[in-house]
Amino acid sequence: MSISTPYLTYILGAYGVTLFSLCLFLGWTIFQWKKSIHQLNNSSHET
Amino acid sequence: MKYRWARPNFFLKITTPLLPVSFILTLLFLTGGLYLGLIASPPDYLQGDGMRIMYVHVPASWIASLIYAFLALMSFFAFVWRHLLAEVLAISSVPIGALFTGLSLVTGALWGKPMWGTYWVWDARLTSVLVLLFLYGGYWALYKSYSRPEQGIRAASLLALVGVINLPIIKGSVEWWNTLHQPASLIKLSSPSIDPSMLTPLLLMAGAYFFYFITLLMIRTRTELNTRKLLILEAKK
Repeated sequence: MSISTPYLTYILGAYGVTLFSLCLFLGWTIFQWKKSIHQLNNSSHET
Repeated sequence: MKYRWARPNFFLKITTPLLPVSFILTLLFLTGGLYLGLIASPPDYLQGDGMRIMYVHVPASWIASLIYAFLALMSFFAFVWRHLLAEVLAISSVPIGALFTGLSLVTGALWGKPMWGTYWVWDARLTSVLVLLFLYGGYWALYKSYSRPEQGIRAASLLALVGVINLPIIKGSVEWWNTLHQPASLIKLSSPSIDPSMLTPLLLMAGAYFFYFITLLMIRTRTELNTRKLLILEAKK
């Protein structure tokens, strides 16, 4: 790809939004998963 | 014994080794797709480098529709047989489907501006994909509006089954109506009208999105099963 392309902003925008969203969603999903494991362990110990 | 594969414990057992494999495949496909899509593939003779947006936009649209078909199938099992794993798989797939539909709309807008001169038109294809996003949102809202998951899933499943009608509309919208959106180049009855140098990064990105979906589906299903176990434990207290 040529850096001087007039579409550079749109291309970087599309790839940037895609990769950022995929990473953010993956991180949020893993966080929720770990949180659910933690909550389940705590609840199991209490009962 | 017949439905052993559909038991949550069996699902957890078989997906434990599959989870890292699926994640590694996502990274491999994504690396290959990004390299070919951004660097190695040639620019289009008409759209120039702007066409590279296709490599992130088109697979997102495919996966968004594929996830909805999966959601409808799981909703059918959940509605008819009240199968726990089908319920959990259905609700776990909704945010991932909404993510890909949103990405399809945003990247499509970023492609539309330099090519069509506008980010958005109320064209049949764009509008039907927006309806798909509303269907995902409606499913989630309906499910969450009930205090008990088993009640919410029945109402939401019904919506998912009715919403299936939107899938052929999305596919046929560019053929049935006169739209600004270009017709299908790959998924059609005749041979694909796309050069292999552009087809390869497109398929690699589709593979990356597919394995991303599988990876996240496995994680979200585990989270949902943990949440349900927690509800049972709290009810016993």
